[in-house]
Amino acid sequence: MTNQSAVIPEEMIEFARVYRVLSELDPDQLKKLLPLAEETHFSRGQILFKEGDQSLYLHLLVSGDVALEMMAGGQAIPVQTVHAGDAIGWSSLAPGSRTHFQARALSKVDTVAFAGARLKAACDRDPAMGYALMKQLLELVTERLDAARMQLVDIYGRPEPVRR
Amino acid sequence: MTGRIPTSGLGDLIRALGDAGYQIIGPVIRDSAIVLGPITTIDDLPKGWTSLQAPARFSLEPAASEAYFDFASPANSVKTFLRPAERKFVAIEKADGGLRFTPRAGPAPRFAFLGVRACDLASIAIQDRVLNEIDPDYRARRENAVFIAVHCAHPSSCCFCASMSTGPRATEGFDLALTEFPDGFLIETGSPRGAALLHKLPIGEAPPDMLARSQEITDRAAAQIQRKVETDGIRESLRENFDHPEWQDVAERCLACGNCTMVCPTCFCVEVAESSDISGAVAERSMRWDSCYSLDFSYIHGGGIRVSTAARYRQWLTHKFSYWFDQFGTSGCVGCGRCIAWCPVAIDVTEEIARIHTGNGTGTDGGQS
Amino acid sequence: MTTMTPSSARIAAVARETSDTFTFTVESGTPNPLPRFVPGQFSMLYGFATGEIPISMSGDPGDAHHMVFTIRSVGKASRAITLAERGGAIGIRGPFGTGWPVREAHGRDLLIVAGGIGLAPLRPVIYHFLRHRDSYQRLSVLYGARSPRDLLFRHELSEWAATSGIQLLATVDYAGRVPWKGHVGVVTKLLALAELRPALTTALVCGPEIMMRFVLSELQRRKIAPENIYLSMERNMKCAIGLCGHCQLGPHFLCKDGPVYRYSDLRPWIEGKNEL
Repeated sequence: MTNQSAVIPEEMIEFARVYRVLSELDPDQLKKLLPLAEETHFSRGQILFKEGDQSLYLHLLVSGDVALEMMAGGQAIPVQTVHAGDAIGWSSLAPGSRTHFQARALSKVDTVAFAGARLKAACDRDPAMGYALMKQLLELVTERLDAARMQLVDIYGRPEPVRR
Repeated sequence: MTGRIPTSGLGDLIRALGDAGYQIIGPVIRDSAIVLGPITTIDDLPKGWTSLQAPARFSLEPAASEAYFDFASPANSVKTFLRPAERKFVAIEKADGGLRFTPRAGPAPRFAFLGVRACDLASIAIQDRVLNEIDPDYRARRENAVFIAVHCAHPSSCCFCASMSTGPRATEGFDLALTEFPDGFLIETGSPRGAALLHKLPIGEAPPDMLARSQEITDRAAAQIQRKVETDGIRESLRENFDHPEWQDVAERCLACGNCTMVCPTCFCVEVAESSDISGAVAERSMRWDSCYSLDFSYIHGGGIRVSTAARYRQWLTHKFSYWFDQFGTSGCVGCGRCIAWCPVAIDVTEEIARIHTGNGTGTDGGQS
Repeated sequence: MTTMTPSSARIAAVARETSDTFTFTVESGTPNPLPRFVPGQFSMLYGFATGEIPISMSGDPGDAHHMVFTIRSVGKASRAITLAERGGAIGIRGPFGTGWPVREAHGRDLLIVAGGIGLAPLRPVIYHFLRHRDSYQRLSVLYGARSPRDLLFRHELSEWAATSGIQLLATVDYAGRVPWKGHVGVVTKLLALAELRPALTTALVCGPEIMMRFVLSELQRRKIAPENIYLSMERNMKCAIGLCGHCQLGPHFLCKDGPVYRYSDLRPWIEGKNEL
């Protein structure tokens, strides 16, 4: 992990801006945040976090697909899959939270992970930065909510089986 | 070409039509109204009667004169005969391990329509554009038909043909056109078929001023017309006012009963229905008049598209006065006023259009008569 | 083609796709061959004593001897037809309507976004693509269904996914207890994974109304021009020849002017036009 006094290369700033969650932050703010970031890698089938775990990390997905699953009767039921550009684990920004889902890598997955508590502390110290971050998180959460609602509204209609 | 016949000559015309093998359809009195029905002699016509038409009102009244045609639109239109309300068009049987389809096409009836108004002639021209290419039965009936028009002398308060440029004088689409005078009829020919018919009648030369007097009659009729539609820009205006509050307003009155679509001479929507006999060996498909006011008109699995009354009223009016231009190159309305008379709650299309199109809610110049 | 009289046809094969959807291969019941069609067109299929339903052709337009229809049982008439047996007799009229822009899309990337039964009218485009590879660049197929059991053409989905030049992504709304290792979520999410070249893309969309709305919005967000987006619309159809008036959407007769429309042409009639 890079420490706070290291120089963050400009390309990294541009790269970071690609992530919607970070896209409203100015270069100075990014310079404060990126040292908190950690590159993580998961192989296919690996669990990023289990349902009920303490929520510790906000993951920005760099590549690969992750299934969000709920446990029911010992079985993991996928309810949504997320992809490069998405963010999961934002509940880590609220101290003491537990995860409501299990996250499983469906393929090789790379993320940029922020320790939620440290991210929150940085936002507390710099509210302007915190606001910029939260605005984008809100957009992302809204999108996720819309998508979830679309899944719920049964757009395809329940089939009425035909027996022949 | 013009000619003149005495009043009794009308009887000769009817006989000539009958001899030529036509089923004569003209105005008759039935169920306390004037409707189009079969005519065999001159006595079947509503001599000395007129109709009082107003929003939600159609009543039979004795006329001031002994004229045969002293009224405006009968309750129904030529559509009843050229495009019957129900018509079976194909029979299907199970045969040879497959299905055999037999179109029902007998010889098309030969109608002679007597006393057709200018507005109804205009409606036929409109129906031709809609149906000639795709409904062979309509086309055959229509080609077989003879039209003896009558220029209107006495419009009703519901009429608005003048502003729709369809009347009160018939200018095209007829084989013969009559103007009724106290002592006889002026006859104008409108086609070779009409001219041929004329030669079968004891026709005399029309006095030189008779045509001018005929024109005076229709000019006077035009001046009596009270209702109007401002047609300039209406095509754009209706579709641009999709969310106009008037749609909600009219929806509170409209029963979605569909009377207007039944009496309208240009409405053409049909239901296509399947029926089979008890043995299940033969099935038939038929076309029946349908109405866009019907709740399941727009139904697809999962629900209807136009569910609210407002949406259905808006569809009918906007189709008739706006979309029709895109589809067929003309307005869909001929200003016959039947929809106003036959609406049970007195909705007046000219008023509705005025509220939406010109914004001032006046579709009439005066009172009612 | 404006007749109301069906022609005799026979069901040559029946394949079950899902619990309520079947694919029928139909051959002519007369000495005359079945008519040719372009992808996107539909026929009126007639069942004895039950009536006609409009169904898009879902098979290969290059097959001169058969017409293929994928039919979902949603009402009385469609249900009756889905019970038809191999060798059974039906009536057929068509083809009707406008087709997908297979010619306008020459030299471009094709993007197919389909939901549920909406993949059926688009499958002929995939067959067309496979027969005319040189006329197009890439093909991406994004397909969403209710659940893994409701996916159509499962066998072909894997084949297409394995074909070079075709990117195929499938997603379901609900995976349930079925072992499913694919995407779960709305089909719009697959657009992020599609490697689009917006300026070069012609998008073809078909599915439930709600899905189409969201997909159209997302396609535009990704800079695909409305002129390059096509959709297939659905309305009540009784005659297919502009006679019955039921299929009207504003001034359009969907049976003649559609069902496939360019989005830029249709937009004024579907955006903000509740209950048009």
